[in-house]
Amino acid sequence: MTLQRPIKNILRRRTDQAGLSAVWKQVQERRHPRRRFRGFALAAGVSLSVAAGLFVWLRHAHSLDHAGPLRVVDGQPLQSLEAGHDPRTVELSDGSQIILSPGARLEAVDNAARIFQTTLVRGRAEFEVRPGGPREWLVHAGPATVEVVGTHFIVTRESGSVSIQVTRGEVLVRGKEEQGARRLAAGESFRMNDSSSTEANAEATVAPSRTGSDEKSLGGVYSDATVPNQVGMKRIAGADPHLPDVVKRRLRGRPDTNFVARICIDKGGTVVDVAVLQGIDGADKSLVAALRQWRYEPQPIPLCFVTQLVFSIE
Amino acid sequence: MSADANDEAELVALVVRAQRRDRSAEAVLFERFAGKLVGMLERLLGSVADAEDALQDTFVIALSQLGRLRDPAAVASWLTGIAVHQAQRRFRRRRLLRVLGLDRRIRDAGLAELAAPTTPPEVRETLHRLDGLLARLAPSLRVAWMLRNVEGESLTEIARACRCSLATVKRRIATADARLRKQLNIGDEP
Repeated sequence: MTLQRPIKNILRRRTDQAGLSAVWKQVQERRHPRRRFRGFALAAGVSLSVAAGLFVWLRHAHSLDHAGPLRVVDGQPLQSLEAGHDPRTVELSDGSQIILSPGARLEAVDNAARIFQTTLVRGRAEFEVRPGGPREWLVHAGPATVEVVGTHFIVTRESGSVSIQVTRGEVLVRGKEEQGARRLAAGESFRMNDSSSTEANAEATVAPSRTGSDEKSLGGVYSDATVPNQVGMKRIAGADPHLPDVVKRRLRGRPDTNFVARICIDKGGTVVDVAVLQGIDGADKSLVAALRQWRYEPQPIPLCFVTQLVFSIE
Repeated sequence: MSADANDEAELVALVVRAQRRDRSAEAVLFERFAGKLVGMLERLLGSVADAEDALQDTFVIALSQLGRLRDPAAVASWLTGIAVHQAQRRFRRRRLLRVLGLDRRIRDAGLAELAAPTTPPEVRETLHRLDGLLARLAPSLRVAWMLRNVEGESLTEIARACRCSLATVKRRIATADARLRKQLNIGDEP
């Protein structure tokens, strides 16, 4: 069989007029996309403008609602709070809540539109701070300062110590010493010795007192003064840490050198984690290894605390 | 002035208007050439969907580059060149997809499928065999041979559409012819 050329003469086209119209429509949409996107752009622009306006208006309304100091929800000024024989719950104007245990006393020391600082003079206070509120919250309790992010936590100041328990969110706890800063997450707690836990001397500084007297008897390099004074944790086992000889030679004749670490122990008092907060070049590894061998008195709950080692080379 | 001259003058005026972004002129240009081009693309590609897709790309490119067309009277061969280029792009894409095992193309516009209802069975059978043989040719050979034997284009037009020399076109067609004629009876060139 012979095919006559051009072969197309015996063929037919399958794309009909409707198909061609559809193609032309697509061509136009691709050729003039601005017409299509102009609508989107306009709608998006209007939406963004409305959203931005709403945001500004809400922020403005919010700042108007909460301008000025924090108040009790009924409008009363917030100065000092005290619980008698019964617990006292105080609802605040920003939606936060404070529950004072019997006998607890709280004083507002700085109450403004952007900051609320309060001091727990004594007892136990439970804080439910609204997240994302307009104010920065600071809770002082003796040597401890709790920076609040928006969370639920309990501060107890009694029997010569301050303890902070976080049940939700997280807080930043600072001692009087900067290196005592510690972030506490939900489920974590922290305890500090508070030698000033009297109402009259609530803000007294608890300065770590260095013993320094047994430096030589401890190998001439070691003084563990801060542990008992700042945190109140007692070591019951474990060798004294020593600096490597090369580090000793480097530090000889210099003023005291500090090594600060955060130690976490389990209920049995076994060290489970050591994090160096302020190290000594060339000595961190051996010091951490030594700290990991320490044991502390058993505790009712797992704890983390900050330890400072002071080295003085004669 | 003859009818052909009138037609050409009208076409040139239409292209010039389209070059000035006259949308109605662009639409008329599409109406005038889309049918011929989509038919050619169907036969080249063997797929209606691919042909419509290639036609769309052809006109998007053509209308956006129409300002570069120096000779408005040559718009037909210029459009054919763009369409052929689009077909060749799809051949390359198919080859890649086939290597990757991803070629899901529906072949619904082979020469046998496009045959008119009145086509004798033996011709239809020949077209079917021709489809199979063309599918085994390299795309460059297949396109050149089909433009010549299926579309009836001149060698010069084919060279322009394939963006190659006349000698190359002749060689490609001769090579394809040699492979096909062994197995098919196709009428000699007029």
